[in-house]
Amino acid sequence: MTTQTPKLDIIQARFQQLDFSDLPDWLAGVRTRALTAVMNRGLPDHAWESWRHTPIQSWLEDILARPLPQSPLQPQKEAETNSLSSTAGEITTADEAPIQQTLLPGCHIRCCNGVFSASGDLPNGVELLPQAAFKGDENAPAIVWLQTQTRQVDPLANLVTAFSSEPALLRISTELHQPIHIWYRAEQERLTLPALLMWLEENTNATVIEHFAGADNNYTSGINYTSDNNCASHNNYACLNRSDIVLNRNARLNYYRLNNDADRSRHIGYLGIEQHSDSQCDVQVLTTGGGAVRNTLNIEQTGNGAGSRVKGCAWVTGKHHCDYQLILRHLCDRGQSDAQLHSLAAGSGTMVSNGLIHIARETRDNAAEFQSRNLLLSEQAQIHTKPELEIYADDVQCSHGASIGQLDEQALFYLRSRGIDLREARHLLLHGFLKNIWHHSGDSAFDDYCRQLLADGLQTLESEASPSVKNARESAADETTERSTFE
Amino acid sequence: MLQIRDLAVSVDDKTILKGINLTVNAGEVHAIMGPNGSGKSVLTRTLSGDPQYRVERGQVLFKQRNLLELEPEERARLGVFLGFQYPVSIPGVSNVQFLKAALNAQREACGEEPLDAMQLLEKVRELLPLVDLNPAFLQRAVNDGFSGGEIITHYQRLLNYVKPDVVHILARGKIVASGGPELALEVEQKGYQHLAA
Repeated sequence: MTTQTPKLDIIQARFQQLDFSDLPDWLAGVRTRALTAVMNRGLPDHAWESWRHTPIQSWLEDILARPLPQSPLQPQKEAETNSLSSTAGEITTADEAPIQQTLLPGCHIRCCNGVFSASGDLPNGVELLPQAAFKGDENAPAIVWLQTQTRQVDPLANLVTAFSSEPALLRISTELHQPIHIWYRAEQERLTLPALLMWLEENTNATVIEHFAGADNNYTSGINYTSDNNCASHNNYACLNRSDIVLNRNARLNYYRLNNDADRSRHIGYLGIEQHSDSQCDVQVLTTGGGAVRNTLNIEQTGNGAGSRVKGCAWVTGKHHCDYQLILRHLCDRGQSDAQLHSLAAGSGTMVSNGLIHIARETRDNAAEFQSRNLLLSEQAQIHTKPELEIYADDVQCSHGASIGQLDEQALFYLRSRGIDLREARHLLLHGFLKNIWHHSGDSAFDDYCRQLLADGLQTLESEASPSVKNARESAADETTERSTFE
Repeated sequence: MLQIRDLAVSVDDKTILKGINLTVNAGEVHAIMGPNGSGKSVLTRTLSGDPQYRVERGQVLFKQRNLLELEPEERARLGVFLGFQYPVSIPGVSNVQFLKAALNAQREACGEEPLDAMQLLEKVRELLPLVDLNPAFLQRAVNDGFSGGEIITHYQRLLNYVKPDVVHILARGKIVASGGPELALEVEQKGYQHLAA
């Protein structure tokens, strides 16, 4: 018996308790196949290369000790079958606890404790549907995709597919002029498993923001919680989320992912993007908090002429742990990709930042670049980074690189030699390190919020950075003073 | 104004300056010349407070203050300014951010109110034509993306504008000769060897 067996037994037993009687056969089949994949592949542990630096075993013990969400939920009542809308001003969570909120104008979708609902009306050409609603329409392309996508091997993403409370489909069939904001939230102690497929039809254009908020309740663009403090930083929810995005031919997506999880939370996220011919995606990832965060970004170019750009920015402080795994697969011709991850670690935080570029056999004219830049700001902090290239074709242009360093002492000295004090000099350098990695979304409230997070993050990083430079300077000055008896 | 007494400085446990003595009075221009590796840069960087250099002994008095007790920024605010031979590139920090931080640090040291972003931009736009600088330069990162010519900060022709009153020759970590401007001409004709011997 391996160390995994008890965990797999727990998972198997819990799966058998689920009631699929109200689910369409195809969805029950998808869930069962996902579970089978988990059982066959096993759960990750430290022996897996991509999990070497992340204590997944203790995370899983904690996660599996929590009660499962009510899963699957009953399909929506007849009147709501074709949409996941709710009454503005009040949403109802899985345990029927009402949460008062204020809605501001905009296009917003909430996911509370794993259940999606739209805040008010969505724009024309945007639909949010429970996957379970597709009972007689199994040939819809998105549903076919859900049934046939077999490349997914990440067992934790499959775990979400198997157990998700209410997997949803967000279908976009128009050119959108305002961002869609998807706001995730979980209550204290909760285990949530939200699963969402975003389906962009051909020639569409959209901006989507996925915001995993747990650390505070100050963000007022879409939802301003006024009657509970479950979002406070002490919230210790666990979230396993899976978001799949399919960009059909010539679709364009600006995607923002903000992990602003609570200090004591655990978040294991999977983002899969499949790009068809001539589609473009611009992905921005910002991780500013969360006791334990793991994000897997798996981008596959399955059509010719696709373009992918990824910019990621993350920092850890305190004893936080953040793990980024970026996989970029060029499976067709004339693909372009450019990925940059910038990370900072202070306090006793641990950062993992890995990136893999894969160029498939018999493909032509692909160009790909991955850069991982990391700043280590304290003696107790750790950063692990590994850039990888897997190239199975000749006609490619690829580059990759990774660096881990400290603040440039000569740059600090240059700034100080112009009268700028050490604190401000450090601030300027840290700000400069992050400056080019985050671009605005067009949602002004979200952008302001991110700017504030960056400012707050810099402040925390500065306060938890080792004062080695200053100490060195001060001790040198002290010694000099002792010896100075100027005549 | 500046008095240096028996200044010895090391870097990575290797002593570079081995007892520098120098007095500069107000209004005087001093030039320090010397062969490669003689310690010219180490001396200027030590005076500016570069933390990579360790002062082993000696004293430096600037405007009646013990310079070696001060942080680099405090020295800068007193007027000690080092023109870097190889300017440090700082990607992500724009010149306008840098100017604002440096100017306000100086203003604060002089007891003046800091300028906000708008006030600074107004002042900078007013001064740009004086130095014939393209406004686009303000948004460029500090010393970043310079061409080879833009990087060069030390030209021989600087001496056409800056006429030294006193010339010192630095060799093997010590000042081995001092004199008037004629000393520079002597070095040009005969090199350093006869002075450094």
